[in-house]
Amino acid sequence: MLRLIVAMVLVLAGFIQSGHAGLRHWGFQSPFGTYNQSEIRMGLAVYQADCARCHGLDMVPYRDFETLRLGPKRLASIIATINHEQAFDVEAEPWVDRVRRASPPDLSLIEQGHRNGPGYVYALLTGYRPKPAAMRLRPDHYFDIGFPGEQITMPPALEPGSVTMADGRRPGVREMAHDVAAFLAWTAHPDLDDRKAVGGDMVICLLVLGIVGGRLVLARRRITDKQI
Amino acid sequence: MSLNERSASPPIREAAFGLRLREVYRRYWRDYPVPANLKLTWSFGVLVAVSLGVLTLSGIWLGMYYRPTMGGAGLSIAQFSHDVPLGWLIHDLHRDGSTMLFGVVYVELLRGIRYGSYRNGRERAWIIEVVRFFMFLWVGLYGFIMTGGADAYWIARAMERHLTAVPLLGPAMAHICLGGLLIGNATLPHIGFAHEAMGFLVLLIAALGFAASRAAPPANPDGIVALQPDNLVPQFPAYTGTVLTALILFGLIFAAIIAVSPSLGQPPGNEIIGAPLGAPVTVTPPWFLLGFQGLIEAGQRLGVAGWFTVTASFVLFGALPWLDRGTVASCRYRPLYGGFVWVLQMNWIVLSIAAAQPATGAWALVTTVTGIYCFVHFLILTPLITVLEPTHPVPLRITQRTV
Repeated sequence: MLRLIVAMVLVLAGFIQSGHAGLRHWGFQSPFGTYNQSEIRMGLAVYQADCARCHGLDMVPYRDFETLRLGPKRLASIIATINHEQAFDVEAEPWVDRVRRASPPDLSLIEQGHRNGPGYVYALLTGYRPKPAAMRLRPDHYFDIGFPGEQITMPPALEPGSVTMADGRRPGVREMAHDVAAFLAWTAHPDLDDRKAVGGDMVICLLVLGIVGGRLVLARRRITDKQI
Repeated sequence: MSLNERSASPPIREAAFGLRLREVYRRYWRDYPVPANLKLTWSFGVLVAVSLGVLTLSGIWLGMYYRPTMGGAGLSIAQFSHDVPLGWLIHDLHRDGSTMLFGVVYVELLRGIRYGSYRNGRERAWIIEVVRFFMFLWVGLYGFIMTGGADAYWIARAMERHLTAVPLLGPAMAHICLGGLLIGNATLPHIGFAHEAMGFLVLLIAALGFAASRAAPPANPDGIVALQPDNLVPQFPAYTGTVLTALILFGLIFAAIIAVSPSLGQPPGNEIIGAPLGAPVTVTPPWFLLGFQGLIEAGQRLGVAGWFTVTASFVLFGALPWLDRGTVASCRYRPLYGGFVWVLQMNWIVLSIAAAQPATGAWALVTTVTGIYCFVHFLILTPLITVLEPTHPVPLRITQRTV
């Protein structure tokens, strides 16, 4: 019994630690954290301003944006800017083939394929550096320390000043990368808040059940032993 | 009416229920005589039943929306999680339900080895348990391939090579499993249907295993074969607390996994849709298959085909009652062999970890050594140690009564 508990504690520690490669400075990455709505709204603004020129977001239905509480006018303006003729059939071409053709991948699920999805996106977007002298870059490639292989065909997309916040401030590249990483985490896992809420409720219910059931069983044993 | 009295059912109700379900429930479940010193792990059979129930129900729902095409499979699952109300929950229940099932099954098997529940009249039950374990792994492998992710695609390609390498039966097995000699458009429909069909077959095998286990002399932690009647108690209410504890711990772990880390134990590269032109750097199956991946790798480095290694490992595992030549069943009274069982357990964990790493250099050596050790344990260590070891005397009556 004791061994079981020790094993469980180790497993628990293990999987809390398991996503620790890379930066983990988003609130929703901790076991009890939820999405920060303002981060995600900001990330949506960054996506529209800098990423939407090339990258699609096919797996995100319009109704999901209602959970961001943007307001009907903002939602209508987002929908109006989407050019339906250019939206391609996601199933027609497998993801990896599209990437090999050096065409921009769809961003809806991009954070799913990495152990630390938001960290990967953040590192990629903030990883552009001047090329080291001894390195030979392929034509049309850029040097990015956050990309596996360090050479990426995507130009640095985040322009400081492309997004203006409500108080007039214009965030820099790091802040924009942080928010767009949070936004893409939301597109990949919109159920995160529900998941943690349901899981947390289940744990509380089971603990209460366990305590009540345990007391019942012990009480019954006490009565039974008394009768013997 | 005191708590100890069992109420006799009125004859009218009994006649109305032609099947006499109440009598069956009482005789085979509530009042069934079990040893009085069973530990928590003896309640894991109930957990297997719960896991199978969760997997079956969530699987039925997932199956309604699943699209068995090469590119469409992963997308259909992602769309199911996004668009169907509580689809994410059903998907997580199925994926993490398989993790929970294998966690429970591995602990159950280890408990069987440790307390000698495979011998002394329980051989048939043990063999059915090993067959059940094999079927679980097969269904789990198929379920993983059905996800359509990058790891899944390349694991299917590896399976294609292993199947066609089987002498005589190879091409026929490839046709049955993959719908052709190579992976193609017929593969996922074949695998999808086989997964569902075998899933239901597994329920039958699990039920058979339960019946076989009940028909055999009851296993107990002391390994006593002939239990005195006063060492047996009706299963409930004696073990109500134990079963409740097991269920609640199971539920807590399940809820924690779904809440915090639903892709626990799954290879991260699998979230990308699989395709022929790109492969993840390291292709790994889910955690419960890693040990067997390691065995296959170790065998291949020695020139033995993968299918042979896996078949041999299951044959040896099932032959354990005959490989164990000792007189004492439970490792409580043969601590030397018990120590080696613990070493086998650690060895399996190290083998699984090593199999998940890129197969170069030091990790390849670790995989080979730990893989070979598994076979050494069953073929050499078990017969030798169980015969030569000095054992403690086994009591005639059970010790450490827990209820």
